[in-house]
Amino acid sequence: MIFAPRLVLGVLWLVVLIAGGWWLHHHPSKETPGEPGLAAFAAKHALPENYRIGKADLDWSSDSGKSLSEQDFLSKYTAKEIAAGGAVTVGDLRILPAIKSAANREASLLPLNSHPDLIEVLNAGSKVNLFEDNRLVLKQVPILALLCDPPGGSNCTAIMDLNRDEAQIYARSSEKLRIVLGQP
Amino acid sequence: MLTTLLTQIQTQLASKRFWLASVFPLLLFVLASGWILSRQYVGFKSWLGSFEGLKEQAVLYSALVAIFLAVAYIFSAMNSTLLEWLEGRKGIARLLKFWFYWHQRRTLQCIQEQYDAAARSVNELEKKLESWIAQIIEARVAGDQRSGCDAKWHKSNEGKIVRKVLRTAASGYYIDSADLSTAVAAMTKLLASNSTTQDTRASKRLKAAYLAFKDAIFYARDSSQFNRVLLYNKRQFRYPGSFESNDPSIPEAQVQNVLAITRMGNIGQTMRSYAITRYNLDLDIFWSRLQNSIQTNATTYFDVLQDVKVQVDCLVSLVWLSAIFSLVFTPWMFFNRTSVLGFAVAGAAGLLSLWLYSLACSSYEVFADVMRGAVDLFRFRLLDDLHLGLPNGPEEERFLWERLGNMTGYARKEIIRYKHPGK
Repeated sequence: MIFAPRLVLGVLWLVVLIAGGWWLHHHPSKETPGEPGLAAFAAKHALPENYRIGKADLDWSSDSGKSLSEQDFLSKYTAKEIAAGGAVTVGDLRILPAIKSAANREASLLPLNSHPDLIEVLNAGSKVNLFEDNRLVLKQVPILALLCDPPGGSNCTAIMDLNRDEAQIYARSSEKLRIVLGQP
Repeated sequence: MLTTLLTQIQTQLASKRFWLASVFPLLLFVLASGWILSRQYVGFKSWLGSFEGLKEQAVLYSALVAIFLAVAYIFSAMNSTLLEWLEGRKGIARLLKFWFYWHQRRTLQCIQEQYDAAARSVNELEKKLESWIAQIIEARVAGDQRSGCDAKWHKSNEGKIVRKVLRTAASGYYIDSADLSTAVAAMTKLLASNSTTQDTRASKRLKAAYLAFKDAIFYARDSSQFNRVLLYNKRQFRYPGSFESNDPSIPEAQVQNVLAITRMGNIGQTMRSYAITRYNLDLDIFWSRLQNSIQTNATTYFDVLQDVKVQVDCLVSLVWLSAIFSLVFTPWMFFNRTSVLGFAVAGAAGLLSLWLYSLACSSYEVFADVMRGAVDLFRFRLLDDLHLGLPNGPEEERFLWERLGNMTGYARKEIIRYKHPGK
């Protein structure tokens, strides 16, 4: 019986692979790609879920983010709440916000076309007051997310979180609403 | 030497060889490495993603393509080296020379032993065939005189032996002459003691077995002959030298009998060995000249030669690149402990390279055959191109190539008469 070197090497290699695969399966790494500690930027302040990342929100000079590109973070939305100073990885972000409607609450769209200054300050977690003809119609309305088309552009709409009564008032109001930033 | 010369078959940038044997395997290697790195490193994935935003940066794209092509061109220049490494002429294979050489030598001995056994079997079968046929016919005539047939003949020892041979023949396997001889004796005994003309199931079955057995005898002869030729071809097309290579009556040294340490190396040696044993024509000396004659006089044949060489080069490149990919990424994936899938893919590439080596060997066998054909068909054209007269017979031709080789390859003085066209 002649064992060809190729056969011997192949069998040995297969044994090594099976043993290595078995070992890896039973000793998984504690760190998986994308988790903090690998490659991330630090959050400058607390970021609620669905927060649209802007230039001022992350510490772009973080050591752990040297290999990352800003483009992968800007105008993306946080997929979970991140504490101030917490690591933000590519895996913590998503392309679009995910809105969950609570019972007795309704999400309504608030166009921001005539308020370009607000685009920089409004975001998930902000609150707004809405005025109609100098009269306050809706007070301290929470913003769920800010949607822009294209993602990095200035044609944006805020998604408000309203209760039933507020939703009816908003539906009856005119299109010329004045928006004033509320208290956080 | 010959391997290096063979790379001259094609080395242009725009050639099929460059694209198929260098760019394509390298592209596969880069894509596979990119895939595994993007799974492993977020930064690398981000870097890859940044290409989406480079729509207007055509210059950067062009630069990357140019770098890739430059690397591919350098890689194409390494083709002959990579082939030589697989042939075991140099490189890491030589570290295991004792093992590889032992295996090649042992395999060759096995083939020679199998060939000798097959040749003996053919002789024996041819000698005994007629008597065996006559023997079972006579036994059948004698058995038919009897009035009965054992219902369980097929379960007797003789019946089992006969059925085994019939099964072997029906399955297309090789029947050894010794086994057949035993089976003939068993069949003779069965036929002599049982009638094949009775209207019983056992009798009809024996008659069918008798007819099939006659066919099996002829099948055994034909398959033995086929097997002998198969082994002969395996010997001469996979290993240098010939069956007569160890004949002690041949006084001079025979360089063509030296084995290489790998299968690929031995296939490569068959080309030179074939030309030396048939015509005394040393391809190490004459290949580049012969190539010119083929290129000038037989473009179609040269195209075929090129196509097969491209296939060989492509497979050789893939063997090395998949081996490198596996040897780099398997330990990498293992020590990073982040992806079992990545580890499995990288490891499987190692097994793939072993399989690709087999494919490369098969492809190289085809190439060697085309090369041998080129020697047969175009050697006289080369003599014409060298302004030499054509020899009158095989012996004269062998003598001519030997003197020409001495003169061209080793700068020895030989008396050769030129024959210039038009004179």
